[in-house]
Amino acid sequence: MKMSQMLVSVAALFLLEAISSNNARAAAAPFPKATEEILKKLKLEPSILANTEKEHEVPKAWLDGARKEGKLRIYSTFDPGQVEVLAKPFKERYPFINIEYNRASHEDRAVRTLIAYKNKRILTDIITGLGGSYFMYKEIGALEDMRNIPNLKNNPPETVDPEGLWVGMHMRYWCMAYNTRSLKKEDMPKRWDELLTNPKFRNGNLAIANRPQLWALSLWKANGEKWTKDFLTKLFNEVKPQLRREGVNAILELLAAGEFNASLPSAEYRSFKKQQDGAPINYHCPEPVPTTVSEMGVLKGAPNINAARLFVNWFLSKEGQIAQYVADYAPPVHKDLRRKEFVPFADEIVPKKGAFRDPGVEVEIQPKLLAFWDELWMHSGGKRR
Amino acid sequence: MSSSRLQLGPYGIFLIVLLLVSVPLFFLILGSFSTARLPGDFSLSTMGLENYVKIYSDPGTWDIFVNTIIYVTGSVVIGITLAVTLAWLVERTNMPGKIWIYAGVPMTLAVPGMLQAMAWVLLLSPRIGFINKSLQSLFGLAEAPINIYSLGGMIFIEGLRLVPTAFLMLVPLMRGMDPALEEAAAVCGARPFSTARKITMRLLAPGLVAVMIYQAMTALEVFEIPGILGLPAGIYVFSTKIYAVIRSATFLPVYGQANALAMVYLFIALFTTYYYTRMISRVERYTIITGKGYRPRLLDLGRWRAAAFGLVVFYLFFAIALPFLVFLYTSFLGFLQAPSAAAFATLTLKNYRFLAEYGEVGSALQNTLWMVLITATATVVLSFFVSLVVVRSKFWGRKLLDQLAFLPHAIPGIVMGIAFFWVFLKIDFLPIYGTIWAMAIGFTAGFLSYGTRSMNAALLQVHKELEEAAYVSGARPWRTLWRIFLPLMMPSFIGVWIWVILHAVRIAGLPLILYEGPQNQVLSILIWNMWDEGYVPAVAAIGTLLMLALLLLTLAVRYIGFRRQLVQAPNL
Repeated sequence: MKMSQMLVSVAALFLLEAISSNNARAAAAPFPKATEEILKKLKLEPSILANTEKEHEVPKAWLDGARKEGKLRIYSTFDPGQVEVLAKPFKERYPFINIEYNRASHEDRAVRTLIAYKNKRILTDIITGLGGSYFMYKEIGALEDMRNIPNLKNNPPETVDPEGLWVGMHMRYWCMAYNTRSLKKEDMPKRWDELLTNPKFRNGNLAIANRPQLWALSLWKANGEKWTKDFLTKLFNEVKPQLRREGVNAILELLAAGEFNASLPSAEYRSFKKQQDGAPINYHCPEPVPTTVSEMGVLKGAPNINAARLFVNWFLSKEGQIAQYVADYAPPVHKDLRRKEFVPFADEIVPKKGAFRDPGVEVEIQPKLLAFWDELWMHSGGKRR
Repeated sequence: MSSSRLQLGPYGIFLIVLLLVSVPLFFLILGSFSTARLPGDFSLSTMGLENYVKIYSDPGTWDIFVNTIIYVTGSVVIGITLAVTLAWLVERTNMPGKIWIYAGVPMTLAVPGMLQAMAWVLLLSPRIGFINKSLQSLFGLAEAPINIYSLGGMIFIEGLRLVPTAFLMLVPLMRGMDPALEEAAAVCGARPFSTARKITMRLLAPGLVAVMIYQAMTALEVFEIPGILGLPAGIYVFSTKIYAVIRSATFLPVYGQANALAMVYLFIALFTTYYYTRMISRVERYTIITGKGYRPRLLDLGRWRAAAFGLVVFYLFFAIALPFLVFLYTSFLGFLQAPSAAAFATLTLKNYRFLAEYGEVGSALQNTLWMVLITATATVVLSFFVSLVVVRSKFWGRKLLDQLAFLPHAIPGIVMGIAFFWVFLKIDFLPIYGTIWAMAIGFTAGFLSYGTRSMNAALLQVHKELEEAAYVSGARPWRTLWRIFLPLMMPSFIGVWIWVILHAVRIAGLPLILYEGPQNQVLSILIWNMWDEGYVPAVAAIGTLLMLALLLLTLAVRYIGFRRQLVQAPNL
């Protein structure tokens, strides 16, 4: 081998070494410190986020724009404390964006934002849980098309609006919670019809919240209008549940205290949290399992549009999805994270047949369901006792 | 002497009240005919009688009327009876231990209704109620003897809830009475209770009627107690129906129907104000503070002193101490559970730690402090001038002004909030929306009804001869206000000021619509959101701290007042 050839070979070796060590560095420390802490907390291998740097590649114009904007306003239902936890990695990645978070219930959020938007005032950049008012946002053209956000492709197709006006941010499974001091697992209904016949749920032993869209809508889609109407009529008239004006989470507290045997609907993430706190409650899903996503949207004309795009893109990345899981136990919607370890009470959900509620279909079914439900709810009272 | 000298810009006051009241009224009335999905979307094409037909053709609505009449009447009877008794005992008799009534009765005022209802569920629920469980084990009963989820339970709890407000309204009236007539009765041999019934109550009549009207409207409007205690048993009253319509499961709240229902409130408010205005038209029948020998003196209860004290202790224990103990206990729990040995073994400080670490508590407290101070001061000042015009002037629109000032009490808080929200967005050249000023303006309009009822009653007791004497002496109107009205009406000013502060702290309906973010988040929103999220023990911790803060505050105020009285009358 000539010297020149030797030199070329050595140089090539050095180059290879340099490239491989660079790669190794990229794989070793690609994510923010907060993310590392989250992985440690969840006892997850860092490899779960291997090769995800591409998920954080965004147009330079968005970064430049967000730097100028300097802030991002979000309306959602997370607790402020949860937002602090979930947004830590985001803040490390984009330290120039200051998040102004505003928590409100659906009605207040939806009504306030819509009235203001019609009066040419944009109260927030990102709004979540559009739910039943989505069609009104669409009607007045209040939502930004998000199809240019790269990480939308991480979601299963049914969890993204074809027009890009909303995107699913996490999964929700709305089933039942029960007090383990009053009921055993065997008492719980395997299918929804069994709820109507078991005397352990009758005469005030079951509490229901005024939120049928969370669970009955999925059942309507799976089992049809006739079945759902018959089921709900019997539920109100024969089972005679306690109608509770408290929100679904406050109802869980009363369930823990033993004020009733079971509550409907209850979400897996919140029931899990209460169980972690030591409350004597468990979670159960009759089949089919009412399944849905919480929606996220960006307001058209939002003054911090670039920061909003960065946030939505980050939230839908594996890192964002794991961060929101650690904050709230909400199962990720990311295709690669739809795994048992990210679903509280997975055995109650994963092996069972699901009934997915597509927010797009809601526009057609929801008015009928809610009109029917409101009649039952309103007419379950009125008599003096 | 012409009373026109005291007409301090009645047109200006009329205009301010008109603006403050007409905005939510406009929304209420027009909205009741609107079928548009969003409030504020008024157009001819969306106007009609559809909401009225839907609401009033429903036979269920008429059942609800019956429930409501029983519920409101029962609550007001319980609330007013207790409040009159307590106010009379502390202000007009020589009962011992008065400071504990002054300090104890208002303790629950700043605690949100939902939390109070929850406390009573833990005490009187047939399944987990501590009192029920104790009675069952004590007497070997198979079933719980008391069911809080009943019309009787709702009446009882709402009645107890009405006491602190009525008490605060009645104390200044009782305090401001000249005892000359009572003394005359005593000289003629009348017994103390006979004097109270025949003299004191009759002198108090206009003030008492104002308090009763106000309390009846409150019981009509407040939804927390019937919502939490009535709904699980299927018992609807008017307020839960409105709440159910506003917070129905449908896409967006059906505001038009809620407004159509709330028109009943408006009708009742108009009717009662008309009745009340007629009643006080002969004002001099009720004036008690005159320029001649006004000196309060106390009735000697004699051997009834101990019995009166016992009654008060029972009330304080049952209505105040028990719920407080429930808050205190719940605040140390990891999750809600009935008292038991196991529960006591798991008591924790984590809810207090949670509050200390919750980043928004500090800013919410600061915002709340400013908001309530502005609201209370504005309400007192505006209410006084409104009442001055109504009671003392010959201004052509004084009756209308009085009715206008009372009407906001008929408008549900959420409707009021949306009305002001819409207005603040429209006048965005004034940077009001998103600030605590927005809430202060909305609340001032809402509390004007209470402020003017109290001020009217207090002004009625001040005889014209006092201000006439001032005029004769050449005093200008402002000096008359400063030297005559301010000292004589100071108890009423302080009473209204404190009352407004306590209520503005706890009411969430209006702030929920008018808040935009941490810069104007107040305590009631924080509590509401935490409650909604299921942090019941942490909310109980806030309730405990609120009650303790109120206890200390009122103790401090009363202690200062008592020291002054003790110097003057050492036998108290």
